[in-house]
Amino acid sequence: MTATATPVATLGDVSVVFGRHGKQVVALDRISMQLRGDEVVSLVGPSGCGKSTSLRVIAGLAEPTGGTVQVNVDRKTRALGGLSMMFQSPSLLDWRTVLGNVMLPLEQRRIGRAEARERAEHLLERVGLADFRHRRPYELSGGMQQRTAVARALVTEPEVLLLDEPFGALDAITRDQMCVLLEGLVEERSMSVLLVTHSMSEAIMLSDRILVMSGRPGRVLEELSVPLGRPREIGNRLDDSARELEARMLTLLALR
Amino acid sequence: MSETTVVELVPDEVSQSPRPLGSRVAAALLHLLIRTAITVAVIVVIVLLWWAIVEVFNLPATELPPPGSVLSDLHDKWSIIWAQATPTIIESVAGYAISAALGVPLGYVISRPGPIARSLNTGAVALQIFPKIAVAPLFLVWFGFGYAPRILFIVLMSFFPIALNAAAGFASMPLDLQDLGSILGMGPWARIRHLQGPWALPQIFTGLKIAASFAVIAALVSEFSGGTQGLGVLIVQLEANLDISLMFAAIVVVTVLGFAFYGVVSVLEMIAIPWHVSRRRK
Repeated sequence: MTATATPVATLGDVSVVFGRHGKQVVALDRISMQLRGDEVVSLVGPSGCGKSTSLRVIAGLAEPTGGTVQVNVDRKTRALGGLSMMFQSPSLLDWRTVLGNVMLPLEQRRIGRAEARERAEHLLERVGLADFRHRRPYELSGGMQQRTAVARALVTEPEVLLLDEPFGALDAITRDQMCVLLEGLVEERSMSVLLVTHSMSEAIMLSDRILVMSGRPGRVLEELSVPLGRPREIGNRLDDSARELEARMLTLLALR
Repeated sequence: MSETTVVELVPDEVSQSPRPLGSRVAAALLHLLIRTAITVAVIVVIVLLWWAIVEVFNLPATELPPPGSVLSDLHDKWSIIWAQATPTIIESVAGYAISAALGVPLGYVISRPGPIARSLNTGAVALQIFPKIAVAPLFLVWFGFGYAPRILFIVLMSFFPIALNAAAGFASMPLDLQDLGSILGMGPWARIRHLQGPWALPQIFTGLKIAASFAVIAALVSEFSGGTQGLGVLIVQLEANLDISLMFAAIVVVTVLGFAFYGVVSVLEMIAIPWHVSRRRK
């Protein structure tokens, strides 16, 4: 997968200040970044540095108080594509089956029932949940719930996938499994991914570029490119080049 | 080159399709049957205690009639009781239905941010605190002796728990689900239908069940305050005539009505919310 030069999302000097009156919290202070077509970018930084806020601004969930936001996805003319997002919690609907949850985004886009079902079942098979499609979310383990959320995010064939610490609530082994699964899924598709994470190994495993951010108010300290080819395996994060990269990130983050 | 790794997950039992409505109704009815059996057992114990008290203290029938005499009145004079029960049932059901139809949407409006929601909330609380029983006789002056003043009284008594619980349910939806609605481009109706509505259902039913237990009592109280028909009117008359045995028979019917009302709403709840936390296996 080679990144194309056209940016799909651009933040230009974006600031976000929370709280109108009295105490104001500066979540983002003139931050700039670009997400190009077909590339995977990670935002890594300490808690409260504004990584998630940056993601939410691109998603349209947070209003910037200054600067410019450009998202070039076709949301109107095509039924599929556009923007998808995964949250830290699986955010599944207990009143729907696993299959029903994955079909929800397609129903919202007025895709016919038969086609929606076919697409959803295909993706559930890909994430290893075909046999669980008629279960309810609360009958599944945390990892399986997050797989369902992955399928729901990808079922619309998004051009941009936003991941807000998607595996933060999972145990280490499940997290590695999810990482491998996601790497494969991203590799198979033509989409841009912006990942917010605390985990350096996750960032290295998945990204083409890593933006290391400073503490509040968040700024981009350094942009690192990941010198690993694709497809990747979980063992690749022990490669010399990956270890050097992790050491560099540790230094950047520990100094703050 | 690596192969794509998919961790195979095998379900612990054969994957079932979601249970159809028919089997859900059957399950709910079975559940109701078991609960009814327990209720009957409790009633038998209460009746035995009642009988023992009458025997031990040798009470006259004008103070506390023995269960046997109440039971035979219930049988022999059923037509008298049933004639007065019908208007009470009609009032309760009508008042309750209006309460539910108004209370749930009102709860949604109250759960929204903004000054309109806050003033509606204040209005609802004021209406709840206001001593309606004190002005119940005035309702007859304002609206006559028909069904209107009674139904209005029942609505005023039972809409508050419905609205308040619904509001709490709508407002408690997690932020992640709200974000999901925005990401999926849902409008207000789609959000209510797919996210907030189902999310709030357990709380809505809590309110509906509380109100169900109020509705029959409210009907009775409105009949106490005057009128020409209903179990409340009958009870007041029988007490004045010292026909305490038949009065108790009427009270038994009121109690059964209240239980039936609550039971119907509980069954509806079980059919509507198969995913309810209290009904998950393990």
